[in-house]
Amino acid sequence: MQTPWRELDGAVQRAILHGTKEKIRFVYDDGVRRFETLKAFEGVLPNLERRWKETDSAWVREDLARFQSQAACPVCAGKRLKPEALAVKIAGRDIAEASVDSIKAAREWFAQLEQGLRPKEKEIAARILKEINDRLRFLVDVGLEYLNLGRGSGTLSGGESQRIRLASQIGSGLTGVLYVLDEPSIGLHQRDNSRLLETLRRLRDLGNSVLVVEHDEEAILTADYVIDMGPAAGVHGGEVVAEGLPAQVEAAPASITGQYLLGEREIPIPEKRRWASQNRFLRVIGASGNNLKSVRAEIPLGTFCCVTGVSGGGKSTLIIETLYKAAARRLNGASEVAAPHDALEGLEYFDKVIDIDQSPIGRTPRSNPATYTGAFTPIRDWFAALPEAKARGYGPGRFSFNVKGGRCEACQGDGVIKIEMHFLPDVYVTCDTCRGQRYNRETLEVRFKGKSIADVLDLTVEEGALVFDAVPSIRDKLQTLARVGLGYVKIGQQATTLSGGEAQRVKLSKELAKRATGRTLYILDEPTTGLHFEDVRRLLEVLQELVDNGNTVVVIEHNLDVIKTADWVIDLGPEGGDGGGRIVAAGTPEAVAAIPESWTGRYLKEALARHEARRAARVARLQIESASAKRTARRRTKVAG
Amino acid sequence: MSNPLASALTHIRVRGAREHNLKNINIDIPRGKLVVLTGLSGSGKSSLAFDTIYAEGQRRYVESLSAYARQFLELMQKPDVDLIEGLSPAISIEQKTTSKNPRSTVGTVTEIYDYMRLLWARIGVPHSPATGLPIQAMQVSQMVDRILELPVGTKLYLLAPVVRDRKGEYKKELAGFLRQGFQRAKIDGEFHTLDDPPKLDKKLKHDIEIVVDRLAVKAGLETRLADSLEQALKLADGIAMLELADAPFERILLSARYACPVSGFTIGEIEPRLFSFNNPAGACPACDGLGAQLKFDAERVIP
Repeated sequence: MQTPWRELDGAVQRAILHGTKEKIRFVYDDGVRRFETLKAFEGVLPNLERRWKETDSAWVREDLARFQSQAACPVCAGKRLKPEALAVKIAGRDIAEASVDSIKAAREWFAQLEQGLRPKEKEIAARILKEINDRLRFLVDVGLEYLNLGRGSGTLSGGESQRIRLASQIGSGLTGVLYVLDEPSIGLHQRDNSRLLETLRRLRDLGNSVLVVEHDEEAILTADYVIDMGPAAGVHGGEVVAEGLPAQVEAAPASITGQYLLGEREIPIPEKRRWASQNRFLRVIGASGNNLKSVRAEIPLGTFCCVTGVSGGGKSTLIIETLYKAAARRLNGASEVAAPHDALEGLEYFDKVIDIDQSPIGRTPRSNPATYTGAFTPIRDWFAALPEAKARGYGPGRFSFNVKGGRCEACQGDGVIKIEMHFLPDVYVTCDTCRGQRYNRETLEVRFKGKSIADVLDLTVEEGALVFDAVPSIRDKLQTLARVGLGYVKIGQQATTLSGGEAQRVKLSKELAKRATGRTLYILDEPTTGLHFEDVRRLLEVLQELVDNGNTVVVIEHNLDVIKTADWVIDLGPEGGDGGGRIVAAGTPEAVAAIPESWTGRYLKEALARHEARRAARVARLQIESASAKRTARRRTKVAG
Repeated sequence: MSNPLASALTHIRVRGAREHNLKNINIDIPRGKLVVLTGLSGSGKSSLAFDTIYAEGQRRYVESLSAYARQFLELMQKPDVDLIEGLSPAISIEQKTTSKNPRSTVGTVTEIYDYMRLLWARIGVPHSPATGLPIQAMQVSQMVDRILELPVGTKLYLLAPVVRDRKGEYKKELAGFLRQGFQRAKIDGEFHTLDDPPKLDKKLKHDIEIVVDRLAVKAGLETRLADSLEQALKLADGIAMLELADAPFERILLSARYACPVSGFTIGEIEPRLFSFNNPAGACPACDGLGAQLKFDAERVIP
């Protein structure tokens, strides 16, 4: 019983996993009673399989899903179609083979196909091919040439699926429509950004109005009209600070955006780049998952390391699929399977690895920023300790919407009631018993500073921090949320309504609130999603602080403002898909900027030059100002004299 | 702008927007332009763009539909705003719309796959999974043309493969072919006359090909060929075979239907839905068109 797994011989391992046919004698002995039975052992995997089939509970399913992995269907080998369908070929390829192509390769293939067709086929195919080619071209235009046609929509990032929708809108050729877009540049390398903007301009030239919510510098500078909202977040915002041509916004003194564009404010480049602490490195050797070409990556310990490269270059494969999964398996005992690699060195310097990704913090409406960061427990305790609650004998559980007692039983604390519509999507209606407040009337009568528990959940994080100013355990957690730029989020906002970037920052704040060991490896995928220059600056302060405490932070990022502040940059590419998967450059941002083969390097070079120019301009301006100040001062002394 | 109507044509006029944290904003947004809305997180960009302007555009559009159609659409709440003028129908391209449906792929959402299905259905050529060769359905006249393409003087047998790799004695059948007027047959690779057929072991598998015609390629054969071919196709259920007398292993298969002459693999009508993995007509029956199966993985069970 005490033998470690790897010392068991193969037959025993198989028996445990897959079960036995012959009966085995089981002895149950719990110290009090003892009995024996004789039966066949089911096996661990069949047992899981059976429990998966039999259960109705979503929770059990989620728990069991940990042990599942996707395997290609053995019959169609992942091609999804019947053999009959796969027997039909054009130019030697079945439809599934043609779907494996990247959009770029598909475009070439379809173009070549048209050349090789017989006249009759050409006549039939001409219109179909035109539609296909048009759509492929639009997808290339929005910078998605590295995607495969067969790629599942669920595996796309938010930015990618948005750009797909954008591409199909251009194809629709509508005019006179108002298009409203939310940050289409997310997850896009600077190189592809101008192509995306070109696409938006084409949408406009078709006769449409295009309204884009965007933080990207290039987008702002090339817009026809800019509206800057502010001046700050939440209750301090909601006004138009500046509007007009980009130049007019730049000139508006109150506009923070303008100040950044002009360089009066900036995301500072650190004075000194850090070097690997004690010359130690974390090394991924021979990584060859997806398109990686046996890559050897070195991440200096105790630094802020940025992984860059065009989309499809292999960033995520290297960092998430290989480094994170292998590290999580060894450090956290997770049941992840890493992409193929030869070795991972330097893990002994870490005690845990934390991936802060954009996946939702919870899939149920019962989860919210407060429950996730643990701020809700002290809030409930605080409410339970109020004199009114004590007089009524309410404990902390009374203030939970997840257990019976204080919650509204009509909706079981959801605030909404789900009505199943069978063939239509489920409809959620506000619970009419509690009117969406999630608690019963008695619980809501307990108030702190005039606010019931439901009112508190409805406060923004920022407001909450003020209300609970005198309660450090609550205030600190809320302030951490505000520090990562989430001051405007409601404390009780349902997790399902948070955007990917917001969910990521909630996770980050949870990590920040923990006591740091100084030996943690943090991995973040595009943490600047949805952030304005000013928010990026604040976020970077937080990340730098993590590094100052001795941790190592690895960030996958396209934002040049982040890349320029990194201690170490690893650039993958040079292109996406098959044209990528190599490390093009590695080193300090300055070193990477000097490498012409690196796309990131080229843009980084410009960004650094721009930064330098702005700094010089600022110094010059300060000198003029101080000179004139001196002059006035001298004049004043003269007058006084 | 002095003329409010003219300005409504050039601008989207928003008056008194108070949604969420918006502070009673008045703003004119130029139409037909690329407008960028920026600002700090939480400063009200989305409240203005999505919750006010888009919501109102969408709401007005949905309200214009019949009550019946409206019940299927989510009617957005009326945004807290005094007035919006110059609004066009609005389409939002958000990020959250990713479908987690495993049946949705880049190809299907972009509709490229739909066109590809059509393309494969119209100009795709079925190939036999057994031989990897194309299966072509030919008209008799096409077959005639194909035969006449052979060099003049080529001697060939036109065979009708009536039994392929089947067990049996076939006494009655062979006698039947004789009655129909056929003289010779190739049985298990050997030519025999039908009035003296070999005794076949009923426990073994046999191949029987009736010799329908023997001829040498020359001009003016069209009618005779067409007749013979039709006869062969009738006998062998749409398949005929050409054997060159000088090179008995070089056989040319002619098929009048989508069927592999070797394995008998057939394919019904080739329609776009055959290529849809979201339609039972095309989906792999083992995985229902998902291409993947969830399996409990020993690698994951043992950390």
